[in-house]
Amino acid sequence: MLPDFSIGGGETRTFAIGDTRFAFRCELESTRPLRLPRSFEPFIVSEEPSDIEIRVSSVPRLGETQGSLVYDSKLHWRALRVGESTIFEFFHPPTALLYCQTRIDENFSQAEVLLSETAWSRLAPQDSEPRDWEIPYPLDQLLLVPALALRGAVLLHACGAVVSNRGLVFAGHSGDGKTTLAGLLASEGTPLLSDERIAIRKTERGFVAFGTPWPGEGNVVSNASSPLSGMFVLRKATHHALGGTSPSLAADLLARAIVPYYLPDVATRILGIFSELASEVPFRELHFARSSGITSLLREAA
Amino acid sequence: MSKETSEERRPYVKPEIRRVNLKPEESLVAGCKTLNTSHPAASPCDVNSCMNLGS
Repeated sequence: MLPDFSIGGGETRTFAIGDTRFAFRCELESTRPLRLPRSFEPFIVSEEPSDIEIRVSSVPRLGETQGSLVYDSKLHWRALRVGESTIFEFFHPPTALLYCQTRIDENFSQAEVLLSETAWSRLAPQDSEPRDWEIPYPLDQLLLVPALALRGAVLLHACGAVVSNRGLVFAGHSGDGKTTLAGLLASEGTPLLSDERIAIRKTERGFVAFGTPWPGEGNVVSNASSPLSGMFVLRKATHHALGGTSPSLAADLLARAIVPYYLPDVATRILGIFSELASEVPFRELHFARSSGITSLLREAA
Repeated sequence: MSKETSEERRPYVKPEIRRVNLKPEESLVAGCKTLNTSHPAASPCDVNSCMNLGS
């Protein structure tokens, strides 16, 4: 796992992900900084203003939101609606202690992240200082996925590569072989965009595939992008083979996208993006094995 | 009005119903990726309660 990096109190860092700029503003009045995964560092940009501003601060304690529950992960976070805003609340599973509450507006452009000082102190290991402040997993994705979707981008569970200067995206559930394929492609010298998450956005030049700061087991992180010329559903096989193009694979690809179905407007936007993708980008199955020669096969599809 | 020729027309594909495997914990990022979990506690959580390890 990559080490983290920090944002000090009063500092702002802006990241460009999927051609969208996200600013994290640390408003924590503490000697402890806000830690972010090191994988975000290649995405830092200096341009202002940002498309989405995420302000992070602490409060002595948090109280549960009185709103309508729209989704409960049954693990450690839930989403609620209050007026036009969406609220994400995070709990420590063993103690049910509320330690993070985030409110974001209907346009997913202004977010306020509140961290509980009481929870951070109480949950620190015995005889030690509280840990540095952190954005709880997966809050960054819960905020960024709708923000991207409302700006025309989708995020997929996928490995991505650049073959013959064209972007190819290989979507798969956990265990479908994204990391294995990334390893095969890297061993053949093929540049990778990610081994876990790919953002796809329609631009004036057509659809473009972007690397993201959310790596898989192979820790592949790239801020590169490439014009998208093919999307594939991964299938493990005994030898490499390309399936024929089929728009009907859109459902399989959609099932491998991150879609907050509890936010109907956002889910509708994502469905619309997939509809456009299906008419503009070839969809295929990629049958692959743990053997060499995958890049030369993919050159046929790039 | 443009006249669609047979060359421009896509081949007809008969509609079909297929079952697609949806993993809600992955679509909704509902699971807990313990290796990356950020948390105020030193040990993130009860690992047995996490649904989504790895990619």
